[in-house]
Amino acid sequence: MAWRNLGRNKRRSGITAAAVAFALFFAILIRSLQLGIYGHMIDTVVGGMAGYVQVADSAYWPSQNIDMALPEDAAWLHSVRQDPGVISANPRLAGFTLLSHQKQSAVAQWTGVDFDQEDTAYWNSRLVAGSFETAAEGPFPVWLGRYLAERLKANLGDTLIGLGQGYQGSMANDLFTVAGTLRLGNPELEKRMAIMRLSDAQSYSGAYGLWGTVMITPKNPHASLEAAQSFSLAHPMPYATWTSWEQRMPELQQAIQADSAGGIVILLILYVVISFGLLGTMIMLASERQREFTMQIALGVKRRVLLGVVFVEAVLMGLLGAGIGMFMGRGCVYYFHLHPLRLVGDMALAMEQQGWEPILPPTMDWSISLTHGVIVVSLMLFASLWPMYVVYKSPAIQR
Amino acid sequence: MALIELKNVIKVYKSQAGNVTAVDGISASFEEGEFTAIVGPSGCGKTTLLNAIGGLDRPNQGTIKIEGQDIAALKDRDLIDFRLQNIGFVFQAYNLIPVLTALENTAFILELQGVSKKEREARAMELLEAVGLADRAHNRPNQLSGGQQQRVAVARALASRPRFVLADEPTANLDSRSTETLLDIMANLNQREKTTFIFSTHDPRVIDRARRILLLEDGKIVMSK
Repeated sequence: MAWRNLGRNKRRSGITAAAVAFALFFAILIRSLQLGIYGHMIDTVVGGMAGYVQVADSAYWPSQNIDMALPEDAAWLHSVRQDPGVISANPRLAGFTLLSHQKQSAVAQWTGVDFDQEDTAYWNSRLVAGSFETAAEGPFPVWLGRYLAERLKANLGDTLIGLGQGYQGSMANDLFTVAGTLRLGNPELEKRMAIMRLSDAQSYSGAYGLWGTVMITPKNPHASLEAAQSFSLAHPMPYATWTSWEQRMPELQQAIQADSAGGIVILLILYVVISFGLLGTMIMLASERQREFTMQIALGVKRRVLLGVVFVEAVLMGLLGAGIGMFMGRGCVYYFHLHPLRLVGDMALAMEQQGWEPILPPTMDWSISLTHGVIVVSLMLFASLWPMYVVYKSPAIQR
Repeated sequence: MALIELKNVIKVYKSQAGNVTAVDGISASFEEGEFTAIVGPSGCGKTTLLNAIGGLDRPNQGTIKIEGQDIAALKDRDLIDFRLQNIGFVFQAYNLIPVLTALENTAFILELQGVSKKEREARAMELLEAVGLADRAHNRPNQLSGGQQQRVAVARALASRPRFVLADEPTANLDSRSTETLLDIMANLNQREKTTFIFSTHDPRVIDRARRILLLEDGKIVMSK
């Protein structure tokens, strides 16, 4: 009977299901975009360059002084890589230098990367121009952030002069050949990063046999804090500290939390508006059926049976709307996942000024759809409390 | 023992204008198999009396016994169950469930009583044949005329073989032809199923067919014949 009741006022049932569907559609779209952008920020800045979990000398942070580098330990690195909770563990060595090309100079952050051990697909995906295949002879090859290359007016094959501080007061100076330019997903990084081979970085700075940091990607990057603690116990290293990205970049985490809270407020407003809409249709439903409820009670229908019919009707309307909303929401999110929105104009500029690539890649995380699906169906059930109350209070006669 | 026995039943409604005594000390009894009309002008208390007999409303004073059971003493939940098992209702406005077919509406009470599908459909079809609507069994109420809907309502009221049927102005919304048809059906079922019918009306055609008439005025029985 509950199923058939949906068809007795098709317009009302349709409006109710549509309200649920659109609420869920917008919730999925908004939240997937929002969390997708955060994920993109974290992946590009943390996953690519800083590491979800980082191992460094206990005095390395916050100065990032190369003198506080760690001695290489191949056995320890092997044991970390064998940990089932670890996807990758990559040593890096970083420092600051002045790079010059003809009359242009810029301060750059050089970072030594072991391309033989790291995810080549990741680095290839970041390459704008050039190649990671380089000649064994000649100046050190360097891959510049695309904006740094622009600033230096350096093209592929150009020679740069590097001058900076090396290990323990030594002078770091050498020639570099521009082997490529990189898109790192963060304009700030692209203005300053100069990537080189780890062995070249050690030679350049004189930090032979040393690592600045080891960046670790755990299997569950969302639990980096817990991972850092458990890895530190499982793979101890003298004088080293294990930190998660949240500890090293609290400002990034706080910015995400603040922005996320804004998104949740928008969703709350959406849900409040939708709730009133659902409540309105449920009040209409109760009002239209008041006489029928009374008649059925007179005939001998128990109130709990009537309550059950109204409840099931609300569940069916909620599930119908949620199904449509989820289909629309997931479909739209999937499309933008394949073809991320790229902002242009002032919006893009504003985002770049904050240090982020102006694209909006949504996340495909199912938990968003399921969580908000449960919320909208719950709102529907909450709205159905009114007709249930009317049934409960219905007398057996019309007065 | 009478099927229904009323003793000094009083029902007073409170309104802004003051207390209104709708039923004023009525005592009466109804035997099994009766075909009784309660008649009187509008506002004389016919519907209130029927509601009280049917356990839809509780009297302020007096007792209503059905086969010796005082229904005024029953709790609300027990009263619903009592109605389901013992009383059939026919309403002025038919009050069929719009999403159910004629067959399903007729079988509705039996379903609530837990009768098997096969058994209830057989009984419902038997009654739809009796009211001349077997060919409309699978039509919904909005596909039936007012007279046809009221015939389905009568079939529904009788489906569970209740102890008696209460009909509140059953012909009020029907044309004369439909009224005659309905009265024939009710009289036949009264004879065939030995079901007691008590109906309120001020329709002279209905009054003519009743075997017993109670005339109400100002909440009191002023004539019984």
